Parts: sequence; structure tokens; C-alpha cells
Amino acid sequence: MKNTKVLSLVVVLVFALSMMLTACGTSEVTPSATATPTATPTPTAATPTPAPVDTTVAKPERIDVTLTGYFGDSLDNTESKKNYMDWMTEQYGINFKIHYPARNNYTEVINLAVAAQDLDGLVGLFTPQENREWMANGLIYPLTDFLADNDTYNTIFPESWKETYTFDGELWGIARGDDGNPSMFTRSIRGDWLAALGLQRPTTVWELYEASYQFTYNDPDGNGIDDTYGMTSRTAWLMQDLFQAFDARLNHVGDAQPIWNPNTNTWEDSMIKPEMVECLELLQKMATENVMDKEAFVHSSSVARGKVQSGYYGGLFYWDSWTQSFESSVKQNFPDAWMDGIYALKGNITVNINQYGIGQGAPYAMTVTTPEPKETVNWYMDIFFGTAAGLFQGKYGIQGDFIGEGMFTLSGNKVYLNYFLKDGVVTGWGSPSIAGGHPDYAVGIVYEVIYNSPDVAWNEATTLRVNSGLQQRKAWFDEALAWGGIYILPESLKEPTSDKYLQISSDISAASQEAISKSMISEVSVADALAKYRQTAKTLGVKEVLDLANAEIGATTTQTY
Amino acid sequence: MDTAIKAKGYQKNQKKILTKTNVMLYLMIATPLILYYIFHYIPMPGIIIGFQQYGLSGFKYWVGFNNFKTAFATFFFWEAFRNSWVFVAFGYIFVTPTPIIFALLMNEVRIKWFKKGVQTISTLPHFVTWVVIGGLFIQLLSPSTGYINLLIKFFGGQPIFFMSNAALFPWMFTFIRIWKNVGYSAIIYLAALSGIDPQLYEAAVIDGANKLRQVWHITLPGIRTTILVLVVLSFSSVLSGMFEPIFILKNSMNRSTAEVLDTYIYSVGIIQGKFNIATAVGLFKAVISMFLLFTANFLSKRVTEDGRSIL
Amino acid sequence: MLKRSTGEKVFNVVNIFFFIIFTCMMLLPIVYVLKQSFEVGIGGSLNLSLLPAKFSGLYYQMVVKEESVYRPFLNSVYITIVGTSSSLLVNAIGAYTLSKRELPGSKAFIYFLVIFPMLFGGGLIPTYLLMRALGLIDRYAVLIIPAMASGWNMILIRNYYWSIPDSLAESARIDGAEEFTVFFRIILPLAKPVLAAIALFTGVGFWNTFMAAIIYIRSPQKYTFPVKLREMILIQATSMKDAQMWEAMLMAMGFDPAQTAVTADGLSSAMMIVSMLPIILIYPYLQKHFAAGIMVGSIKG
Repeated sequence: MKNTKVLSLVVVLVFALSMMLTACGTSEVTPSATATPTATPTPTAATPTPAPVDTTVAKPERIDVTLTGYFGDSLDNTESKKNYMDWMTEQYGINFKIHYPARNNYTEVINLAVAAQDLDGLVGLFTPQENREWMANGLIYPLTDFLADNDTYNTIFPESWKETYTFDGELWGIARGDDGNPSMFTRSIRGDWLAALGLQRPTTVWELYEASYQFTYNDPDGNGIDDTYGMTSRTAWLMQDLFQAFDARLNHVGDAQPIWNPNTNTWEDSMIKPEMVECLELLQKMATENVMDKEAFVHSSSVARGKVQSGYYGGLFYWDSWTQSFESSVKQNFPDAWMDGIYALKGNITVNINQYGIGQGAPYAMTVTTPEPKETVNWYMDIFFGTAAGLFQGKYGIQGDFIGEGMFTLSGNKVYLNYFLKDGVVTGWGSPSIAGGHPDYAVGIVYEVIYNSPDVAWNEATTLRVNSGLQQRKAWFDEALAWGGIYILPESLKEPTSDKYLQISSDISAASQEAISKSMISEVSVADALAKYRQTAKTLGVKEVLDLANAEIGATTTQTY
Repeated sequence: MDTAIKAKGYQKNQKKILTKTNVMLYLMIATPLILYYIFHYIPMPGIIIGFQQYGLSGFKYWVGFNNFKTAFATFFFWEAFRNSWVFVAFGYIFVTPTPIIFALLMNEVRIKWFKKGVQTISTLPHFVTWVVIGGLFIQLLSPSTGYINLLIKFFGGQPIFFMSNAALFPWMFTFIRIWKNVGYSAIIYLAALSGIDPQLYEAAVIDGANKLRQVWHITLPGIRTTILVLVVLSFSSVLSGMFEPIFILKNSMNRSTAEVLDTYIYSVGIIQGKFNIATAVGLFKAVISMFLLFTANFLSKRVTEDGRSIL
Repeated sequence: MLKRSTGEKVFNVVNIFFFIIFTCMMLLPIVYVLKQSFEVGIGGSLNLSLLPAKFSGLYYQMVVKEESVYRPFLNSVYITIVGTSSSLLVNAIGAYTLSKRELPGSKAFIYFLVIFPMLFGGGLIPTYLLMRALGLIDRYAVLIIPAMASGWNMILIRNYYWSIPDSLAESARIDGAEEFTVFFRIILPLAKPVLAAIALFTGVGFWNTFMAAIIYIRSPQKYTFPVKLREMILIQATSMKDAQMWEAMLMAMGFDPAQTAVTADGLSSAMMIVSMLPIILIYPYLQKHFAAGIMVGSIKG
């Protein structure tokens, strides 16, 4: 029949099409085949050695880790990442898989995946609040029972790390760990400009304003051109020290949300305090006078950094490790420049101004869809926290013996970061950064990092720069600690924990951000902006959040809307 | 045109549906139908999430129309709703007429290579992703390092905060939309213009009509249908297609005038994990779009030459 | 030839002048990014010159050499080629059926392919569950197959088929050719302009694949170029990751972050230029067909 002929023709066509499609589904190696670098010495399984593991729990078939805070973006060092996974799989006989959601979209990706029950193993979350939310939604396992007999957990894993992620008597997340350096921000400011203008290093927020004003108008670089600015920022986040000095505190991520005030031991809403009016009026004045970069609410923080690095902006409140790096960059254009660091500015208050933390890192939670939960979490714990070698293996990558074979070598308390020469330039590896720190090897800062490559001059310069930077940081930090300018913010007091807060938190944030940003560029008056915020906060029920949080610490809310 | 479609051999078998020819034609469209069934229709029942309590851990219980109530009681929802319509209005007032004017002026250019060059250059941005266009303009309009503000400062002016000024944002966005699409949209009008019989102009010149009168009496009526069809066609999708540009150009300063329904759905639904609210808002949007689509279909019968509808 | 009046001459000059300014406006953003992509050093971009202060091809070297940049580029090339060709085939064949107005159910197809899907979507969760059930998560196929059939494109192609005189097809039918043969022998070769236009649309769509890649792709080896581009352009830092990302990337490429004057802006500028290159190269060749194809496809609806 002719019909059959036709039919078969179309079937063949559809078949051919589906073949083509299947082909494009499976040929995912095609681009990577062309992409293998030939000059790179690939770490071989023979020389590098894995950290030993001592556990009585049976081996899981696989361990999945979803990294939401990979240092470097999801697309960097793909070869290193693949090698690392292969190597771990081979060494431990566990199918080791790390997933890298695209940068800036971590939350979307893991939310979707977990809602579709397509997220296995350990997932990096961001905050204890998120950890708690996932717990409340029944998405993750409690871990206490699984780890009850685990030696690493019982003897090595620090109590403070456990506390942070313990809710309702159960452990819900494994801390990533931090490298033990106090983690905090500092105000980087151009020391050479201060000196050129005959100014002292500012100690109060008003002195900072005076200095920055002169930075903008008094030609601190003496080139006769009006091309300098007082300071830059990125949203309220990178000017937290100003808000704090006024006692109109922002929370630990620089957001204007309910916060715990260490001086009064109460939870409060800074946005409706009279101090916030003072603070915003100063900011508005600074923006109007071009003392503060008006673009602060638009550009990214990399642009803000770039502006400081360009040598035309007086400073920025940023991670303290950057002060040194700012200095090096500014020196490119202005060889005589140097940076000063201010850990806290006095204002309406003179103690407990800026917070710092000895971090335990973000939590890894284990989803309820994980096939062998007990095995997975025990092996994870033992591999990455059991020994120093294991920790660095999770932090830096494959452990090798010498340059070019493996990403690091461990010798006593010294960690050698191995670089190699590629096309004549010193080249490094991508670090997996699964684990961040280890109680014995990090919290007490007993280990030293040495840059290690065939180019000796490069090693020395880099190691020197890093170490002198660390020493300078330490000196400034100790100074602020001595006069009480900085304090440790306990993990449990970083954010309110009530469900009500989780519900309205993003709305509070949006409303306060708007009030701050709009009043700063004089789009609305400070009074109007804050009045609008007060109205929104009242409708949202921020009072209820404060009441609940205060009740928990035995205090009472004094503010009314 | 209609005569062209009527194939005699084809009409003979009209009563029987499964003729050999028809079966073959059905098979030819089978692949798209199957693909659409799989990727659009299988997930479609997911709309019921809009009537459920549905969060990160999935379905909890039924809530009826409560999700709609929650959304309608939210200030930010109405803000996004209002902005969506502001952009629609700006679109019809500014974005739609620009390519027509562009085409009319371009039609008067007699230097061929120049004409072709300008057209090529102005069409290209249409094909560049918003990710790039956004990056391009953010850099260009930066108050401190952007070229435009450097120019303003050079002439002694104060830098303008194009991207951070909420009042300015709808205008900026409209300008960028025009910049991106004017050349591309003009292609159709230019083609329509070239279809106008040159003898009409010659006759007009003999009658002593000047250029403006020619445009008014010959050119515009000549492309009237094209304009109407395109405007009507665009009705049904006015609320869509705004996601990517807004997602990329939005920041905390301009959010109040930039947020549209699509980006609102995204941030509520996926980032905050309130899938139910997002689905409800999406459904609300779909109902409006459906109304607009049927309006457009009704109107299209009046504006096409042969009275056919777009559906 | 008609004689031109003085007024007309003046108008022509003004008109040309207008288009010169217009073209400059179209080009300025691109020229500005081009300048940044060739300029090394941070302070240099603060002058009015459109030529780089310190000229260097460094950023382009980075694009070519750095695996995390060229691999997504190759991925995008791959899905664009496979996606466009398969999509074109499926839509061109399907559109032929749609062009048969007398075919029972042809109206229903339009509702099925265009109207309902446009209005109602199940949302991301059900779609994600589907992709997972089909085993498509983390495969290139997830970026291609769901985007392959397009009702709108089929309508545009269909409209063009309508404009082809039926006498050609009719004579073939009289010779005993079946619809399938008629389509491939007669209709398809005549539809080149509209196919060129649709190929351009579809190709640009695949080239810009972004959201789907973010949501469904897990392995860093398989991300598309726009994902990488956005990671570079819109670094909205919320933590130290941002800073360390850039440093780590520089170190991996053999630069000491504190000693080099390369900027993230410079590299993203170079990447923007690279991402625009294919279209800049291809468009002028398709332009001729394009106007004809898009014109007939849209108007004759």
C-alpha cells in the first residue's frame, strides 16, 4: 500500500531526528575533547597521596556535594575540578561528585532542585536562618544520631561550630569551617592623602567626614586637577561603620533589619531610631557634596573596589584583607601612595561598634533524598575534618609531593601552595574550597602558608606581601580590640529566628534599602523616607518580630511604630 | 491569494478525514505536536499550585483563592503591576512610532551604500542578548566612568545618575529599547514602503504636491495596514518579554519603577521559594493576556485586507 | 527622473546629516566597549578619547587562552549549530501542514501550538520535574529539545508558504507526486528567504541560551557563553567570594592580582565583543533574504 510507504518514510525521518537529538545529548564530551591543555602537568594518581580515614561506618557508594559558595565562579578551572573529583573517587572508592550552580543564581537553582527532590547529599546553604528554614520544611536530616559514634565529630569538631547549627536539640548542618583569621571589615583610607593634607587618622565619624570633604575639594594628590573623591561604597553594606557609629546599626550582612544591640542587650529596629535620622542626614550631605560616591547604590562592589584601586577615591569599608591589595593597586598609578586601616569609628557610641567573628563558615545540610545518609555524613566528616591533610585536601585540592604534582604539600605546620610554570608564567590551580578551616590547624592560626613555585623570586615576593599584610592587619585589629571598638556578635544573635521574621524579612529589607538609598541621593527627604518606612514596617508587623526576639533573651521592646 | 490555496486534488477528498494525503500531512506536523505536548502540556496542570500551599517541601494543603488574596494585598505586587502597564504605555507612545519615522526618513535617502550601511548597523543590536546590552549601557551611563557623563562633565554639567534615578528609569529603559530595536522594526516598514507604486508619486508631483503632502496622502496610507497589523499583533504579548532586560537593569535604587510582573514572579517564586504565590500571579497575568489576545484577534479582522484574523 | 526643488535638496542634506548622527549613536556604546576591551589599566578610562590610553590585546589573549572562557563559547557554538538546524527542519515541515487551511483540525493546531502555551505555563517546578523524569538534567539536550519546536516560527513560515503560487505544486501533484515530495522538491527550495530569517531568529535564540543553562546544567564543563558573560559583567557582590573569584581567576591565568592592571571590566568588555562577533559576521550575508522573509512572513498574516 502507498500509505505504508508514506508512513515508513515519516517514521524514518522522525527516527533520524531523534537519533540526531540523542547524539547531541550524549556527545557532551565533544567540546572538552578539544580543550585538554597539553602544556599543563596533570596531577597523576601515583604521586599525590590522599588523607587517611579511620571510621567504622560502612563506605557509601557516593558522596554528592553542592557548592554554593565556590571561590571563583562555577566556570573557572573546569579541568582542575574534574581532576579533583576523579582523584577523590579513585582514592576513596566513593563516587565523589561536586555540583556547581552558576554564580549569583545559587539560591534559585538549589530551591528548584530541592523542591523537585533532585538534590542529593550535602548542600551548601548560606546562613543558620536558611538552615532552619530547610529544617522547618522537612527538607533535611537531623545529623546528631548519625554522628553519635563518630570520633572526629566527638573529639575534634569544635563545640561552637556544633552550637551554631543546632536547633531544637539536633544538629542540622555541618559548618564549613573558617581559616581562623578574625573575619571582619575595615575602613581602608588613603594614608598618603591624610599626610599630604596634614590630617590625623580619623577616629570619629565626623573626623572622617572632614577628611573626606578635604579629599574631594583640597586636591590631596596635589596634581592641580579636581579629580579626587572622598570615598565610595556599595549600598549601605560598604558603609556599615558609619551607621554603627551613629548607633543606627545594620545587621551582620549590612542590611537594615531588626538587630541585636550589644550595649543595651535588646533587639531593635534601627530605622525608626532618631540616630538613623542623624546618620542619613550626614550621608545625604556627603552625597550632595560629592564627598560620597553617589553611584554607591548602582555599581557592583567590584566597581567600587576598582575606583579605590584607580587611586581617585579616598577609601572604602570592606573586607580587611583588601587594604593591602588596594595599596598595591594604587601604587601602580601613584608609587608613593599607602593605605591606612580603621577598624571602628566612634560616634554616638564609643564601645562595641563594629562586629567581627571567628567564623565557623556556612552550613552544609544533608537532604532527605540522600540514599545512604549515615554513611555519607560520617565519611564526609572523617575525610575533611579527621586530619590536617584531609582539611587541606578539601580546601586546596589534591595533595602532592612537589611542584607541578598536586595543588599543595603539607610539611609540619607549613602548607606549601604549589604553583607551576605554564608558558613561562607562574600558574596556580583552582581550589575546591569544600572545607574552609580545621580546629587544630586553623582556629589557632598555627599553620603558615608558603607560596611555592619554580620561580623563586615570585615565591618570595608573594609570601612576603601576604605575610606583611597579615601582620599589619593584626596590629590594627589589636588596637581596635584594645579600646573596645569591636565585639564578637554571637551567632544566635545575628538575626531573629521567628517564622514571622522569615516571612517578612525580604520585605523589610526592600523597604529599608529604599528609604536609605532614596534619601541619600536626595530623591526624598530623610524625614519622608523614614516615615514611609515606618508605615510599611507597621503594616508588615516588624514590632511582632522584635517582641518575639526580645522575649527570647528576656528583654522588652521599647520602640513603637 | 485565496485561489492559490485551493488545490483541486485536495478538495476532492474533503469529506473523508483520514485520506492518504491528510495522514501524510498529519505525520508531518507530528514532531512539533509531540514536542509541544511533552514540554508544554505535561507541566501545564502545575497551574493548580496557585491554589495550594506549596513551598520548598512541595504540596502541603489546598488554600483556594488565598494565594491570590495574599498577592493582591501586597504592596510590591501592585507596584510591579503598575510598572508593567507604564512600560506598555511608553512602548506604544514612543517605541512603536520611532521605526515608522525612521523608515520614512530612510526611504528618502538616495545614496545606496549609505542606506545599506546605516540599516545594517542599526539592525544588529536587535540580535545581541540583553545580558550584553545591559552591560554595555551600565558601563556607558556610569556617572563616574561612563562616557556620557564624562561628556557632560567636560561641558561643565553635573553628572546624571541615569540608572539609579527611579523617576528617570522608565525613560532610560524606553530609550534603550528604541536603541536596540529601531533598525530591526523598521525593516518591515521599509519593505512595505518599497511596495508603493512609484507612479503614484509621479502623478502627485505633476499635480504639484510637495513632499509633505506626498507623505500624508500616499506614503502613510500605503503602509497603514502594515502599521495596524503590527500594533494589533503586539497586543497579546504586551505583558511578556520584559523579564530579561529588567532582570539585568534593575537595582535597589530603581526597583520601585523597574520591577514588572515577570521579575516579581521570579523573585517571589524562586528566590523566596513561595511557588504558590508566584503561580497565582502568573495565572492572573495569563488571564489578562488571554483577554488582550482575543481583543487583538477581534480587531485584526478589521485591519487586515482580506478580513482574516490572526489566529 | 524627476527634478528636485531647493527645499528637497536641503531636506536631503539634513536627512543624511541626521542619519550620520544616528549611526554614531548606534555605534557609540559598541565603540566604547571596544575601547575598554583594548585598554589595560584602571585610571585610563576616565578620559574622553575613544582610543585606549594603553593599547593591549591582553584581554583577547585571556579569552582565547582561558579555558573557563573559551569552553562555554564552544558549548554555545555547538548547541547553536545543532539546535538551529534541527529546529529549522522540524518547524519547516510542520508549517507545511499548517499552511493547508482546508485540512481538518488545522485551526486546532494553532490553538494547540500557539495560543494555549503562550497563555498558560505550568511554572518552573513542574517543568523541572519533567526534565528530570526525561533524564535531561545536565545534558546539552535540555538546552535544545524543549526549544526546538516553535509555534510562532511555524506561523511565520506558514505565511510564507501561502505566498508561493500553488500552480507549481499543482503541476507536480498532477504528475502524481505526493505531498511530502511536493514539499521537499517544490516548496522548500522556494522558501529560502523565510528559512534564512527563521534560522537567524532561532540561531540567535540558541546563542543567547541563558536561563535554561543556569537552571538545568550542573557541570561546569557544560555552561553556555551568556552564563559566563553574566558572571563577568554583573558581579553583584554580596561577599568576599566576588573578590576572591577574580583573584583566583587571575592566579590561575598566571597573573599576580596585586601587580597587574587588568580589570574585570576590561575582560568582560572583550567577552561582550566576542559574543557579538558571530552575529556581526553572519548578519550582512543573511540580510538580503532576511528582509524578504520577515516581510512576507509577518504581513500576510
